[in-house]
Amino acid sequence: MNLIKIKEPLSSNNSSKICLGIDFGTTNSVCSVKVNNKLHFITDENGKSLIPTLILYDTKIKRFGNQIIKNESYYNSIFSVKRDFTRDFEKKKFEDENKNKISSIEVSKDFFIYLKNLCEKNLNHNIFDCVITVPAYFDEKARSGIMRAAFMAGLRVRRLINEPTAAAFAYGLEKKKKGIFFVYDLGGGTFDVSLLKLSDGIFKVLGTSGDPNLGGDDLDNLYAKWLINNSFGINFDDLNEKEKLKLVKKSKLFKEKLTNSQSFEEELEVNDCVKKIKINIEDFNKSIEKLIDRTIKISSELLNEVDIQIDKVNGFVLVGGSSRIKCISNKIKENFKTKIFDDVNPDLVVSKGAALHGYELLNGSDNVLLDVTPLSLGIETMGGLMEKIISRNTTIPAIKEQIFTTYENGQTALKFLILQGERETSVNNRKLGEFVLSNIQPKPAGIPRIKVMFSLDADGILFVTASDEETGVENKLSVKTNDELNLNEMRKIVESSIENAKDDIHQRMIIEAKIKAQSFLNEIDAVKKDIELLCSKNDIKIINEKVAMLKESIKTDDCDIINQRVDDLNKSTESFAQKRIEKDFSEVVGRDVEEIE
Amino acid sequence: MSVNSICWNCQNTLPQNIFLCPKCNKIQPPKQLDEFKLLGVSEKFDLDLEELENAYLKLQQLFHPDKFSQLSDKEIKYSTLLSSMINEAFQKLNNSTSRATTLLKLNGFNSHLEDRSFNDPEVLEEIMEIQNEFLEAENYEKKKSSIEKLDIRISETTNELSRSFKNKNYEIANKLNIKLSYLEKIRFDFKKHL
Repeated sequence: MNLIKIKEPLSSNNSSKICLGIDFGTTNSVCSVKVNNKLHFITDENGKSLIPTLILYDTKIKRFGNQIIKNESYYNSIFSVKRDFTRDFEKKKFEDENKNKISSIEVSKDFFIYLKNLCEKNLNHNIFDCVITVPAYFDEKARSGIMRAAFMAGLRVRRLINEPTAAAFAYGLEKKKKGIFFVYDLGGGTFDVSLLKLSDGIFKVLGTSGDPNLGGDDLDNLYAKWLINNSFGINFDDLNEKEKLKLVKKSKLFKEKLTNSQSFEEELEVNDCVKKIKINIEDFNKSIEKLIDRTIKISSELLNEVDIQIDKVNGFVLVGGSSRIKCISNKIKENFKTKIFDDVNPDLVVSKGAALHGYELLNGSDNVLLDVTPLSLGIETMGGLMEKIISRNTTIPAIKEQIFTTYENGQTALKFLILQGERETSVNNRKLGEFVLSNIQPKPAGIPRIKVMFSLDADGILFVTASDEETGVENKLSVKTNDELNLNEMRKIVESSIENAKDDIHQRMIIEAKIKAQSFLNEIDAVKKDIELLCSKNDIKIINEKVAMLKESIKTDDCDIINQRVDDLNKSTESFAQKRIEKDFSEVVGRDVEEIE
Repeated sequence: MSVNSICWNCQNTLPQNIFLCPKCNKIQPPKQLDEFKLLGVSEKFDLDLEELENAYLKLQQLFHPDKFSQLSDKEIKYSTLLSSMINEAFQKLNNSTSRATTLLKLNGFNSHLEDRSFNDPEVLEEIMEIQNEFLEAENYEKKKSSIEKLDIRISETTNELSRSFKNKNYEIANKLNIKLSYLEKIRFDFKKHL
C-alpha cells in the first residue's frame, strides 16, 4: 500500500518556540532545529544536510550549495566567503545576477536567505529566530559583519555562539560528560581551540585561542603546491587563477579520498597536460605537516596560558571537517598523551549545539553557558601603545572602566582609538573604530577625569562609552563601519518588520528600506554642522522638514513611502552635497597629490 | 546612605541588597556591592575556592542574560550588567593577589600594585636571585626544578599573607601581596619560556 506522505505543518499553538541553529561554515554550512524534543537537520533539494557554502551569480539567476553543478560554471562560484569577514567584507568585489557590485556581506545575506527558505520548506513554518555560530577567534568586526548579513536576510539573531563552545555544549549534553575537555576545531577556513569545564548544567569556557586564517583550505593549497611541484615540476604561483583553483579543488578531492584509502592512482590535468600520478598518505602528511604543527603549538600555548596541567584534562574532542585527517589525531596523541573523543560527527555537532542552545534561550532551561572573549580590547594611548581594558579570556558579559586624562593644558577634546588584539603597539592590532569626546572642561594637563567604559555583551559584541566625570558629557560607540547602522538599530528594524510583514519578501523590503533610510539619517546627522555652515536658511529649513518626514515614515512599515521620502531628502540635499565637495576640494588644493590619495 | 529603593515594575519597596523584587520577581538595576557581598561569601582571605566557584555559578545560573533573552530590553540590560559584575567579582576573588587587593581596599587600604613605590631591597634581591637561577638553567629539567622552587616560595608567601590578614596587619599584608604578585608574574614568564 502506498501511503502518501504529507508533511505535518507545525501547529501555531505548539508549546515550544522554534530557533534555528546555523553553522555558517567556510566550506559547508549546516542548519538544525529542535522541535518537540527532537533534533532535525535541515536538508536541501538533494536531501543533503551538509550544504556547501557556495554561491553562483549566473545571468539573472542565483544558485546555492548543491544546486551548483560541477561543470565549468562551478569555477565561477564564490568559495569561502566567510574568510572575507576577517579581511575586507565591505569591499564590493563581486557581481550579482544583475551585474550589480556587491560585498561579501551581501553575498552572505543571499546565502542566509537561501538557508532560511530551505528551513521554512523543511518545517512548513515561518522561521525568524536563530543562533549563529562563529569561530571563537573571530574579532569584533567579523562578528558584527556576520550579524549584519543575517539581519539583512530577515533573521532575528538570538545569539552568536562560538563554534567550539557550541560543539562542547552538544557533546556534553548528549554524552552527559563532566570534567575538563579540550575542543580542537579545524574547519574549512578557521582553527579554534577551547578548554571547557563541564559540570551539572554548567558549561564554562576556561580559555580559547586559535587562528582565524588557518583551515582545510590552507591544507588544500599546501597539498596542491606540493603535487604540482613534485609531479609536474611547475611552480604553483606560475599557474593562472583558473588552473590554480582547479588544482586546489582536485587536491581537496584527493585529500577526502585519502581518509578512506592509503594510496591510489589518479589522473591530474594541468595546463592541458594529463599525467597519471600516485597519491599516498605519507606525501600528503608531509606536505601539510607545518600547519598541523602550528595547531599543536597553539593548543599547548592555551594549556599553558590557563595554567592547566594536561593530566587534568579528560581528553580532546575533535570538531570540524578537517579534523578527520588521520595524522591530526596521531600528532595530538604524540604530543599530549591524552584521550581523543571522536564519537561525534565533526561536521554536524556545531550546528547541533547552536540549535540546542537556541531552543533553551527561547523556551528556558537550567543550563548555563559561560563563554570568554578571545582577544583583548583596549584603546590607544600616547606613543601608539595599546592599553588593555578587557583582557583576552575574560568571561562575558563583561564591563570594565578605566580613567584617562588629558596630556596638554586646556585640552578640550580627546580622541579614542579602539583596538583589539594582543600586540603592544597599536598598529599591529585591529582597529575597531575611533571616536572623539569633545566639550571637556579646559583644565591643566592630567586633571580631567575621563571615564571610558567597555561593555561586552553575551554575544561578544562591544559597546564603548566615554564620559567626562565632571560635566557628564558622554559619547557612545558601538563597533560599526562608516555610516552603517549599529547592531542595536538593525536589531530593532528586524524586530518591527517581523511583526508587520505580510511575507518574507515583503519583510526584507521593509528591512532594506529602513536600513537605507536610517543610514541616510545618520549620515545627515554626522554632517549637521556643515549643513548649517554651507546652506542658505531656506535650504536648511527644507532639509530639516524632509528629515522629520523621513523619520516619521520609518515608524510605519510602508516601504514605498519610506523610499519616496529617502529620494525627497536626497534631492533636497543635492546642492549641499555639491557645496561640500567643493569645500573639501578647496581644503586639499595645494597639498601633494600623493597626500590626497 | 542606604536608602530603600522601589521596584521599577510594581513600585514595591525593596529590601537591601536584593537582585529580584520579592513581590513581582522582576530583576532590579544592580547596586554597587563589594565583591564578597555580591557573591555571598564570607569576607576573608582564606576562601574555599570550590565554595566560591559554586556560589558564583549558582548566581550565573540565575542572572545570566540568556535567562532573560525573552524579556524586555530593560531586563536584558539589568541582567547583562549584573552578570558582568558577578563575573568580575569572581575573577577578583578567585586569584589570591587580586583577592588580597580587594580585601585591603575594603579595609581602607588602597594598594596599587602598579605603584613604583615598591623598593624593599630584600625582596628585590630575592626575586633577582630566582630570575638568575632560571636564566642560567641550561636544560628543561633544571628549568622545571627552578619553577618548582618558585612554587614553594609562592605558597610560603601566600601563607604569610594569610597570617597577616588574620592579624589584621594590613601594612604587612600589602607588602607581602606586592611580593606575591611579582612572584606570580615571573612564574608566568618562566612558563612561557619553558
